[in-house]
Amino acid sequence: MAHRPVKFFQVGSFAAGNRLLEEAERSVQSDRERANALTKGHRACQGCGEALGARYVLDAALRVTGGKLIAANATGCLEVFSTPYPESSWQLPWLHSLFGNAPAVASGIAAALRAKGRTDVRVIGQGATAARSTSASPACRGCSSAATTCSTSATTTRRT
Amino acid sequence: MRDQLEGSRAIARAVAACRPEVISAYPISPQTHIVEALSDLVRTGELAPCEYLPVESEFAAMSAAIGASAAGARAYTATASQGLLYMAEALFNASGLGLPIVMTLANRALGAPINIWNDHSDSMSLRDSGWIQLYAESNQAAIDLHLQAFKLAEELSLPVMVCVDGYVLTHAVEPLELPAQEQVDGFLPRYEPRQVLDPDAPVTIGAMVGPEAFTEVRYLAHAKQMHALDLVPEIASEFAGAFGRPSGGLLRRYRTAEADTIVVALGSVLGTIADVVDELRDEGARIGALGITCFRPFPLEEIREALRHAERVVLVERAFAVGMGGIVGQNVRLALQGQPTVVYDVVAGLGGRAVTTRSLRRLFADVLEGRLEPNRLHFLDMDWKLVERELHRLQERRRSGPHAENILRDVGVIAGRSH
Repeated sequence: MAHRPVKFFQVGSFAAGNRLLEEAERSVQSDRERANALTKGHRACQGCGEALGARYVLDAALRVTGGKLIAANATGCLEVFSTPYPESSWQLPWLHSLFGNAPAVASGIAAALRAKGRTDVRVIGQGATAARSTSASPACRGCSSAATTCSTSATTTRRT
Repeated sequence: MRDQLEGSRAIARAVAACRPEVISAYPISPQTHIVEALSDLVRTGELAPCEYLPVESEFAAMSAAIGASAAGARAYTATASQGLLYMAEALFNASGLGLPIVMTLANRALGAPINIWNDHSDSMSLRDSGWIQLYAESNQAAIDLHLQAFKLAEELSLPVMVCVDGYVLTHAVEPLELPAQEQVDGFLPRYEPRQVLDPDAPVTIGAMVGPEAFTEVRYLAHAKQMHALDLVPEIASEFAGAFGRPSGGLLRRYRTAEADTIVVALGSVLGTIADVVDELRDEGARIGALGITCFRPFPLEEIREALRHAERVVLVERAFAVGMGGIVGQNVRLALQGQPTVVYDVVAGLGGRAVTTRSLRRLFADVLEGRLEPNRLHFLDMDWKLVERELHRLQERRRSGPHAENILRDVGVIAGRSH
């Protein structure tokens, strides 16, 4: 990511962004090519590392899979701030089940896709998701660090 | 096709005929033979396309079923006893999300004390998990209920638990009518999900719902269960049309016409009860039996109607709520509100204790001749001597020791003396 002198521009409304700037002055967030898997308006705190981490990982994953991606999310901050009913920040198919079972849920999704011959679709899950699932990952319940390179680490997730 | 085979294998074949696309399971007695047989059918390619996930726990089994179902696959699992409790958190999740998973429960007691044999403690403990609960009276019923369960689950988008008595049914070898694949294909259409994880039409499943809509979403789950009260009989009559035999439905009446005494029960014990009813009918007693096939949703109106003319209702229950009493009894009493019916609660067959025709004859004779006190909790074939010895021991000394070990020792002493 190249350095950009201007990072933020207040447009005088609830929306914040820098798409009104000249192309050359814009930051990476407003790149036209950005997938924006986890779109704006969610309720994470300003500067939340988890939101940023999740978005980077999802954007990259969406790019390499050509948009053929399904997410399995554990209970925790990410799930709470991104999906308060009736809003959702997720631009890709997304399932949240429980605190400690995202890997197993992701395995189930992957199995369903295999059974249906959908070899083009990939599954991304939270918490050390493995091909054949194990919830014995050392990450805390709901920890997103393993799959989403979250910078907030397991210490910030708690039962909600 | 008629074949002589074990209940578990018959259930596995019935499930396979329903073409599940994902099976995730962890083995536990007495469910093991069911999932072993299914994994074999997947291995040999007889059941295809199907993915069998040998997961690391029952919690993972239900979780994988949740993922598979949300991804649009017909998903199945099976468990028993402790396994059901281990997946408890995921059971509520599957029903709350409205995922039409079908699960066989090979009914088994709950520990402690650890016991692998049959009763209904497991399914009764999770009767309010939002799953539809169907109880099989025989292995033929178990086969037929599974075919109906998939149809019911998918029409409602709700999970269905088919409860089959462990060992008594799962391990019994008998001649059974297995459905032909074409028949099942004609009866059970392809699964068309109401909600599916699809990259071409992304949706968010399992969002956080606050006070503004939580009650409404919960009510929808209730409304769907209430709708099942109409659908269960409809599917049963469709089944009878397709397969030429009656099976399923909310209730099953056995010789209840003009009966002044009706015995209410769930599961395989109904077979023994029917034998005793026949004997007593031959002797002139006006007795009948009512089997509850669908316990959740609870068919309140239908039970009220079925018991309307009974003077006495005897509940034979394979589980009970400690500190309260009969579980089915509490529910049936609601159906009898305002009626002068006398109700007897009898707990029988816990932890695999055989419920014999002899004991039931004695029990029903006690009821008919007014020797059993109504509205009190009774236990069939209870060894009161053993219980009193242990209660006495509790009073005698502080460190009285573990109940199970004391009683096992007493059983030895008492048995020793009798020889």
